[in-house]
Amino acid sequence: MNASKALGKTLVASPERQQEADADWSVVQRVQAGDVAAFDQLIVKYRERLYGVIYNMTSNREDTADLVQDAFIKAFQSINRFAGQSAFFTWLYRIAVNSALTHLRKSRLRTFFSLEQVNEDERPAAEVISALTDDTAAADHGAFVKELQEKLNEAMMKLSIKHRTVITLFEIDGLSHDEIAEIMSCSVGTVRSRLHYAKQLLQAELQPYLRK
Amino acid sequence: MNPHSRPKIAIEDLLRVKRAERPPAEFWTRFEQELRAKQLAAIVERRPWWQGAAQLAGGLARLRLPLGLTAAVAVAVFSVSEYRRSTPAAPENVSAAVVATMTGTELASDSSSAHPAPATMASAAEVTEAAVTAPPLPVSNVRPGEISRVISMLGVEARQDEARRDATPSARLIAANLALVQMNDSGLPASLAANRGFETRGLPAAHVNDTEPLAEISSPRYRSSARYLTTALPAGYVFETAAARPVATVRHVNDRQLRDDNVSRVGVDNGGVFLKL
Repeated sequence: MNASKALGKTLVASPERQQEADADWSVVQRVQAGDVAAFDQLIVKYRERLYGVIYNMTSNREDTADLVQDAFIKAFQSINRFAGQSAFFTWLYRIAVNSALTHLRKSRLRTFFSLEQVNEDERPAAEVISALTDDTAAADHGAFVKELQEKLNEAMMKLSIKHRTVITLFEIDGLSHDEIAEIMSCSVGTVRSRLHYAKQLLQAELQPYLRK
Repeated sequence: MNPHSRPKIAIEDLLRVKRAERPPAEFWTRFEQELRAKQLAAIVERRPWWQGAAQLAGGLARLRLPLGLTAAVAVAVFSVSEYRRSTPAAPENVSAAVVATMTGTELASDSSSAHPAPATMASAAEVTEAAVTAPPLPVSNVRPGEISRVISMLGVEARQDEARRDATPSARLIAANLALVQMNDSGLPASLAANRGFETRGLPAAHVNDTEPLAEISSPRYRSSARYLTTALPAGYVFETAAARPVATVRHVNDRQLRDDNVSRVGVDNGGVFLKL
């Protein structure tokens, strides 16, 4: 079954998404036919996105690296069972998110932050940081960014696992409601509800950094 | 700086900062090496059996609807067949069948004159059991004379020892009752019909049978109980004590014997009262 057709059934996908799904499906078919090296293309394509999602769910880079690697291995082992019913990235995300949810449930009482550096050269983040630090002295700029990063992570960690996952997939990874619903095996309404609730909590936690 | 000229910062803008948290480029080199090592380990490592079972279950999950329907139909068919097998063939009228069988047998035995052929008919105990478990026989179906035939058939064995039983008071009483029933045979169905709750059945053979009562128990459950009772009782114990023992005529009964409730049977015979102690 063509992946783009399946995607069109379940999601209101953009043409870019459909092209992406078609390209992934052809690579998956090659892997299923025995071209194991073709799987590396999928790893290189999705490793950073997947890392970003899992990292913002766990706030720990070592755990994130392990979970992303495990997700790729699971996907590789089960690639023959992937029948193209959904887009490959949805399937891969589902594997990774489920692994992360299981890990977070197991280590609920053990949370260690292990944060990455904020890349201040990236445009949207740089604009936000400059807007927040325009009154701050240049010497205190680094400390402010560090403090903001910690506050953001603390606020994220106060969310429940499912709310955190939804806000990560929507606000940080930029997936649509339908895609999140498919990845998390829930309804779109549930996704919207969780998103709304999570934003309310984050607003309450990060009130000092907000400007109206 | 004018606060009104400051750009708005919403929660979505703050979360963009999170998006910028990225690992350095050298991290991916290490990541790839570790992933290769894990891939090789996963290939070499034998997968546990339950993963195969889980895969199989996952494959079967696609067929869950037809499989479930098939299982439901199979269970239903099996249940119905078992139910039909366990339900006894409901006779329209077992009592009538019993009566007909026995009267027919009696007629056959009558036709063969002196040989009643007990082997060809069901044993008296079986007939009794069938009669007890059978639904009531409509009185209108019973012809006059049939009941007495049944009774006489059930008493086939009893007639053989008639002379010996006549020696006991209870045997004489039973014989008198039989005679009375046979005399009033034509009016019996009507009286049975008038008596609500009474079921027209053949009288059990135990009334006239001379054998040991425990031996007459036909149900396997009661048969085993009788066997236990027989082993528990003292050797040589005879149930029909009244028939076995000679009746002793006494003129005086001790007050103590009466007081201690030793009297097991009271009867009237030949214008006198007899007590069995």
